[in-house]
Amino acid sequence: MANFQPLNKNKHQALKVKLDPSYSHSAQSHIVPISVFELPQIQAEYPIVFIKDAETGRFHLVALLGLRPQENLFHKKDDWNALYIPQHLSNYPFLLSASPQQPDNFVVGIDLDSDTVSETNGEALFSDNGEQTKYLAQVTENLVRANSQLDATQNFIQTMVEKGLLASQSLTIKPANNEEFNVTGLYSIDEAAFNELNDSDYQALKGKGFITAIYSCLFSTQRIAKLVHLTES
Amino acid sequence: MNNGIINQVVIVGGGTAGWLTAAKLAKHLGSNKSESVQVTLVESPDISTIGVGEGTWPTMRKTLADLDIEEHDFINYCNASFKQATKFVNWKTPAINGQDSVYYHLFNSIVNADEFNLSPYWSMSDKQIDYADFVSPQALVCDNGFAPKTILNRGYDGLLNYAYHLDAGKFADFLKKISCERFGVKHISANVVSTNLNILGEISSIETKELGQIKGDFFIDCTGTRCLLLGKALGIEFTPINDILFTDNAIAMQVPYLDENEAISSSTISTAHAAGWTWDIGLSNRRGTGYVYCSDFVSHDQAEQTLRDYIGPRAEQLSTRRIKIASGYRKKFWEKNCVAIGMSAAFVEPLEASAIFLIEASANMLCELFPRNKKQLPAVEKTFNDSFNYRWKRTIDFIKLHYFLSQRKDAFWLENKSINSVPDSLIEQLEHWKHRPVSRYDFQNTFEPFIQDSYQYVLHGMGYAQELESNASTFNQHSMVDSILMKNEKFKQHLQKNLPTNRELLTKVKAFGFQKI
Repeated sequence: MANFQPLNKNKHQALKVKLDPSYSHSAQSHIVPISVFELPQIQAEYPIVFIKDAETGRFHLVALLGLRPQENLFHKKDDWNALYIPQHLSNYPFLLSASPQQPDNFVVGIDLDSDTVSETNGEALFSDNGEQTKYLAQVTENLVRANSQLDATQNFIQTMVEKGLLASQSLTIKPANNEEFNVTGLYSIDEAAFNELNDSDYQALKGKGFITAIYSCLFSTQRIAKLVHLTES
Repeated sequence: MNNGIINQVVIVGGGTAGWLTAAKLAKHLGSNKSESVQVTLVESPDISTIGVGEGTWPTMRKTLADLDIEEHDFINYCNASFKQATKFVNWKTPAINGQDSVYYHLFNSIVNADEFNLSPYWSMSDKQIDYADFVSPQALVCDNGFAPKTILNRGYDGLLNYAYHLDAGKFADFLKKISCERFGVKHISANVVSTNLNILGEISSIETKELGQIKGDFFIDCTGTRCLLLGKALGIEFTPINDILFTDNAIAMQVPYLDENEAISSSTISTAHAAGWTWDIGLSNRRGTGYVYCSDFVSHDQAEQTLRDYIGPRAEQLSTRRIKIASGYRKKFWEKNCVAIGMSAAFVEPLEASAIFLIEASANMLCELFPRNKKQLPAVEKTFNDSFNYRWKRTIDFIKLHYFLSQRKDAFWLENKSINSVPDSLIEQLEHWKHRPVSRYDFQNTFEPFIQDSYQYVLHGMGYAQELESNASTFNQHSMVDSILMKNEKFKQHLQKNLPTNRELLTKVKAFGFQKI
């Protein structure tokens, strides 16, 4: 279980974070949330889908890491099977959360239970005189950027739903050397519906800068073959 | 008169009947464009709606979807909940040693009876499990207070078929807003004092106290039991059916939940008592309950006590409201340029929640056959009257069936079994069903109000005896039956694992709504 605590330079001055090229905290995750701004990079390596949150029924935009629950086909012993790492993974063990005292302010949190966090190994967060290191400054900048993209991602999802551009997708996967199985609960951009948009709806999407994102989603479905291939090897 | 073209429709009376008809008709006719037929609804500011029946049929989902209404908007505004059945308690027999007799009339069967009928196979089985459990997973779902779907399903989709319980007053308000804002219905608040006829005996206008004359080409009477247009102005008589269905009064009580976690029932609970039956309908914010009874067999005070006893200690501080009911129907529902929809057309006790369904059905037929030219009126009048005459009679038969099959011995119940109170059509059918299963050929009309499955839930639930043994060799598709039963059991397990309770889902619907896809 994760144990995120607000980062505090007095309490946490000695902490170090080891870079983990295998992102092992995600070893049991078959999906990772992504931002609408990441889609061009994501689509080159991961299938992009929309899934519903089991608690709320609302959509999330995610990259598929595996085809079955708890299956991560990208995670390897000391490596990761792709060049681009989704922000949500690369930002770990940090996250940005609302300050308990001032909900309008954000604070950097750190998962103290992460294997990458110690006082012995890795990148220091604070210098000996308590200043934040370049590393921590970069981490903070990344978190703030990711956070600033959340609204745009929500807006993208909502627009796709409202314009009727999402369709439920059911996949039947037949690995060469194994039994076939079904993947359900996925939603993807409906190419036919997208092509049938009237001019004013299309212009509205263009105005919001969503065209690249939509094509990224469409192209990314080709990456499902890559995942099937990974399940075979 | 404009060459007999119908351009102005006037609906008199709000309530569920008026506003549902207004919404459907205005949407259908495209009334928000000025060149289309215009729909005006005149509603009295002084007469409150009666709010008949707070239960619907599954048809309501299509009705709402067709009106471009988001399911969660409707549910949240009308304090609606999900209804999957009517649960009949102590109808077959009174409670024995404190043990209620219970059966379900469900909305969902594992296979529709007109495709493959499991009924004879259950009849000839050892009947260790109830008929409803044999043919459907839904009784189990209702027993657990589960919803018919999850937050992952989109609006109006379900894992099981379902309808709603709703606050009829709020529902009328909700439809009023939508009718006026989206579909171009004009709302006039005024009291109708009289009706003017033209030389052909058609209604030409109504006179209102506040705004004088309101003209129209076609009129819809939604004035409830007062039946101002069809009855009072056009003289169409009322046919009472108190020789068939005896209940003549209802006493109603709104019961709050004990706390925000108390379970919300997945079914309408209909419990038989000495001189009638109680309804118990769980909305999201309160229960609506009432006792429908015949005052020949019980005093009003006794009736109130029966209701209070049924509710239990929490009824102590709660007030009741008594409503006189008169079951029956108009000799015609459509006369010249006027049609009656809702309680102005007919009323039967709300045992099977047929009231709102028949409003939907009437409005649908009116929309599709809407006579744009007065020349069409006589033909539409005949089609409509024939159809609804049939539907109301079938509805009455079906309600009577519940009483007729009861084994209760109270005077009221025995009287209900007296043969001269039972329509011949019902006696005839029951005679057939003694020797053969109910058949899809018994339901040849496209617009049967109650389908084969419904009859079978009631017949078997009430323990109607069928003699099928002599024809046992006919029912030989045992491997088919086994595979359906296995599917049913698997589905039961899946649903038990995945469905939230009614209350849990309604809380989520309030917070998050359903997605469009």
